[in-house]
Amino acid sequence: MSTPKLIDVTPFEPLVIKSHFDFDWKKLQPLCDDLIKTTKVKTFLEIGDAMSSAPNRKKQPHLLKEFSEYYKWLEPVAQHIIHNEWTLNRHFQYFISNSWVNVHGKGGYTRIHTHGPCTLTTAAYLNLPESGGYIEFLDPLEQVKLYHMKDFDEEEFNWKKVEAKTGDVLIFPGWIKHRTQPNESDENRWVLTSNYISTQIASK
Amino acid sequence: MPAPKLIDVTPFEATIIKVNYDGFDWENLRPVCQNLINQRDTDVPLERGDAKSSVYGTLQPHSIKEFENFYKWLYPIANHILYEEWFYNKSFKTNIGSSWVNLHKKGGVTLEHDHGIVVMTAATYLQLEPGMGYIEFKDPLEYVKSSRPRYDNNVNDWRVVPAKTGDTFLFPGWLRHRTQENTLDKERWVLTTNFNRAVSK
Repeated sequence: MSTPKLIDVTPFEPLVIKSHFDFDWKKLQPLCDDLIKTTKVKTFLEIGDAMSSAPNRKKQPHLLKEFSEYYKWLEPVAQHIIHNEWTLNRHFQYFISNSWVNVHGKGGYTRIHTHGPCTLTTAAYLNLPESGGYIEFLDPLEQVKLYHMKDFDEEEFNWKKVEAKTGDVLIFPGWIKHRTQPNESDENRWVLTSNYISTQIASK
Repeated sequence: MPAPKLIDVTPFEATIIKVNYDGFDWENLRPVCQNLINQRDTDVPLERGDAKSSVYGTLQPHSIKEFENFYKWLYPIANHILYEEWFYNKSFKTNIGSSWVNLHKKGGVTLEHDHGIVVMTAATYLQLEPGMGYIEFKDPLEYVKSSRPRYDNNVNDWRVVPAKTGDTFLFPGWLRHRTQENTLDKERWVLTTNFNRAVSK
């Protein structure tokens, strides 16, 4: 008997989508260094050799001309996912609210967090060295699955990594819990994050 | 510029898996299924319209010889999904707790329900044609997603999964589902099997 063909027919929309953009990292790196240097506050999410420009609201990548090519590429991709993959309401506007870069040196990582009410979050790898560590997502159905999964180490089992390379852009809803693995290389890992939020279009 | 390639990399296990069994001899099985339905004439609250179920009967498909080959085929598939797709610990054993057939004639439907503590449910179409109605599953993340700008949530949360005769859907017992209405003057027959956790005494 031939092996039966098993097909995943789970009919719900994808939660994590990957695309790719080729950044000119040599050109962008000095600018990213400046974004980090001019951020005076360390965020509580960044642990070890790790810094973020998230608190720096004066200088955000999506407002800088050096990143305009990327954001010109991202906009139709994000709108396509919002409207066609996730079939969200067209009577709302979806736009970028904030953006920042994170840099992780050896041992640096980002703790578990969500992006709360953000409709869509994008994490773009500006520079991901080998052994630089990946992003991990927490299964949003962990509680539902709990009853029959007790024989495992739940703390680790429910976390799933998504492998990537430099230039990969991961797109996911703001509510999903995620974290990063520590960077185990001697080279810095750089990630550019952007949040899309929504607002209802006022009726005339 | 070519459209950017988008890849679904959602890293969580498949919730619903489809596989096809082409070994049913429906001409010989149909009277067997009708006998299962006839053994107890009790209304089943989940079945509406012209719909019958053998779920309350003492005679169950998995314990009669006419379904023996099907269950010989199904059991290793269920175990494969359990251990290789859903990553259960290999010390976790299951057995078939119950099985039954449902008959839906024109207008017949099964209402929204789940199978509770059941580890895995298999729904197998013994007789299905387009127009007889498919199974629908409710998004288990409905509450999480309800905070996003959606359309009518009651419509948005349900997803239909098309199928044909012989198709078997395997899914966790906690997943809510229902059937569409049979709109034809023909009979839709479905065989359902529940895999429970085997508990040693």
